[in-house]
Amino acid sequence: MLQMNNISKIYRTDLVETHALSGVNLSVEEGEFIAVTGPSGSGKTTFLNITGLLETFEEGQYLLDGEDVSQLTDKHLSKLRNEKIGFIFQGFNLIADLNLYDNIEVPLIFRGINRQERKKRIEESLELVGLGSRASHFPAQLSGGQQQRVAIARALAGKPRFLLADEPTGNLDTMMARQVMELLQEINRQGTTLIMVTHDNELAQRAHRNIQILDGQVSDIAKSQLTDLAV
Amino acid sequence: MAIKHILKLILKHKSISLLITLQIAIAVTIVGNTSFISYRTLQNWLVPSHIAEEQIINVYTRAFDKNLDKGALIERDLQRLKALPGVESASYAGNELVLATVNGRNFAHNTLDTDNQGEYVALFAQTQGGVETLGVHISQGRHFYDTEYIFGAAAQNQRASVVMISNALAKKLFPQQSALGQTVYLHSDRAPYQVIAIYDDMMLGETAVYTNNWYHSAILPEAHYGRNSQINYLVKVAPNTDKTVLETIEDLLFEEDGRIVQQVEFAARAKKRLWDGRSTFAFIMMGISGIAILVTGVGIIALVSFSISVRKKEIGVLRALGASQSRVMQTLLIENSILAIVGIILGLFAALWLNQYFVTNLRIQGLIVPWLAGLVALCVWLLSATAVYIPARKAARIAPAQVTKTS
Ligand SMILES: Nc1ncnc2c1ncn2[C@@H]1O[C@H](COP(=O)(O)OP(=O)(O)OP(=O)(O)O)[C@@H](O)[C@H]1O
Ligand SMILES: [Mg+2]
Repeated sequence: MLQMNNISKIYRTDLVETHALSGVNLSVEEGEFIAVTGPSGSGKTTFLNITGLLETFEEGQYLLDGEDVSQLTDKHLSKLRNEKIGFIFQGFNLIADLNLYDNIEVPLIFRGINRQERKKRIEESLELVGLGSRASHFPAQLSGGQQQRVAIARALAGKPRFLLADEPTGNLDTMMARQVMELLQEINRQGTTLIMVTHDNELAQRAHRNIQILDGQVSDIAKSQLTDLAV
Repeated sequence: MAIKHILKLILKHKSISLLITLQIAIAVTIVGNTSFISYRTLQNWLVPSHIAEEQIINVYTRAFDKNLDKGALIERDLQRLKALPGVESASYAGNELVLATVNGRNFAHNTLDTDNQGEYVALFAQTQGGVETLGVHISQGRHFYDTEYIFGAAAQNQRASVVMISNALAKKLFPQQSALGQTVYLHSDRAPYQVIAIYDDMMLGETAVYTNNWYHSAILPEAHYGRNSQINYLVKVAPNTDKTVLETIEDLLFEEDGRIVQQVEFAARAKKRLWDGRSTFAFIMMGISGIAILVTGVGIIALVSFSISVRKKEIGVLRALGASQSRVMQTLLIENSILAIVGIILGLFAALWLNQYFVTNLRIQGLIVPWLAGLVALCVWLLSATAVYIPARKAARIAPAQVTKTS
């Protein structure tokens, strides 16, 4: 489904050049569940952002469904983001001025889904994350964990083929984290490709495949090595 | 994002939305009114006068010696004026000079009914030669007969019996039938005069013009001079006569004892003076409006830029969720246009009200010009759209990751 060849990302500020990713090679098959681990600042979010077409890169080639994304226009990229990719951000990135219903509805409107179908999907996805009764609440009226679940609901409502999650359980207690994990696994079982960044080795264990990012370098690791990681 | 969401966002950001709307309303009110007033003034400037502005001369003099034989003086003056090189004709002018009303307002009536307010009219009371001096072109009827002229000491209490009126006045007084042969009632005592001629429209009277009755005028073959100390003349000179003729006339009249020469001027000058007051108001309004455009323009740009800059993150999130740059731009432009349209509507109502105030309280000519109102609305909308466009494009160009990363 996706193929990265020698991708590099450099952040240039006045003083320093940060090589957030250097020479990433990766191939992901449809339906895979990949857990990404690595120390803070190693480039996990950067990797996910590039994968999710939220950011450009300096070097290398990225093929998504065989399409070279560096050649695409903004309009085309936006369409791909909207239709193929679901994103669960590290910081939830809900729109503070809209209630939960509207927050989930916005990306569905971009896709041109009709009102009835939108309503159905919004209610389903809110139900799924246990916030069915809160549709008219605003993000600020929710706890961090609840906001995280809204962000998940927003990603799920779009029924993406490809779900990218940046620490989706970071703000949840162990119980809730497990529930969310099971939800994600279920979605994966139904065919959605899932790439998830996590600090939690126990959750990482559940993935089909584990990759590690260290200083901008991506490599596959065996499950047995997970426990060695300093978190 | 749907309109529904845009409206919700507008309502969420009440104070800034209100400020933008008000700012736009104020701009429309002030700029709208200035445009109306300036436009009307300009339009009035462009009403053709059909008079030989550079050939007709108004002469104002005053006799301070009570024992002066005015009748003899006037005859003497007219003879000497006519003898001047370049002078084509001259006439004593009893009531009005060209575009300079000397003796109050005059009305023409088509009935003796005192409830009828009548029409503003420039009433030219002339001696022989008056018709030629004014350059009147008779389209229907006849000239005055010499015997119809009323002048001289013995005739001071007599009225003439005939009148020539302009085409515009004829149409106004007698819309249904020909004015020729009809009776027109003039002066405060409503003396009857029979219309013997209708002449092509000319812009002649100050008061008439001031009340927008551009071409209302009438010519009487009567010249009373005993009522006050004024002795005024109309003189017509050949085309392209040098300005020095004014001095020549002044010097000539000055030689006579017991009388002062107040002013000798071309009709063009009287016309300019007539417009000056209005133009001044229009210029003041234009100045205010210039400042208003600047202040509200800068204000709109600042407010809109601010409202967008506080939403950088929101814009990035929308982008991450799949809104293209153009879609973001479109959304922000729609949002701003909603505010702008509300502001423009409020502004137009305020402009209407202000205009009413000007028209009734300051006697300013500035009735609403619909297409101009539309143009002003469009310009203000464009201004606010431009104000959105620049910061919005900047915000939309930021990679979505830049804002989604920070929490
Ligand atoms: N916009 C930016 N400008 C400059 N440097 C950046 C920028 N974004 C990220 N970086 C740097 O790139 C490196 C990788 O950052 P990234 O956010 O990918 O880390 P991460 O692995 O997601 O960390 P964490 O686990 O704390 O979320 C870091 O050193 C960070 O400081
Ligand atoms: Mg991160």
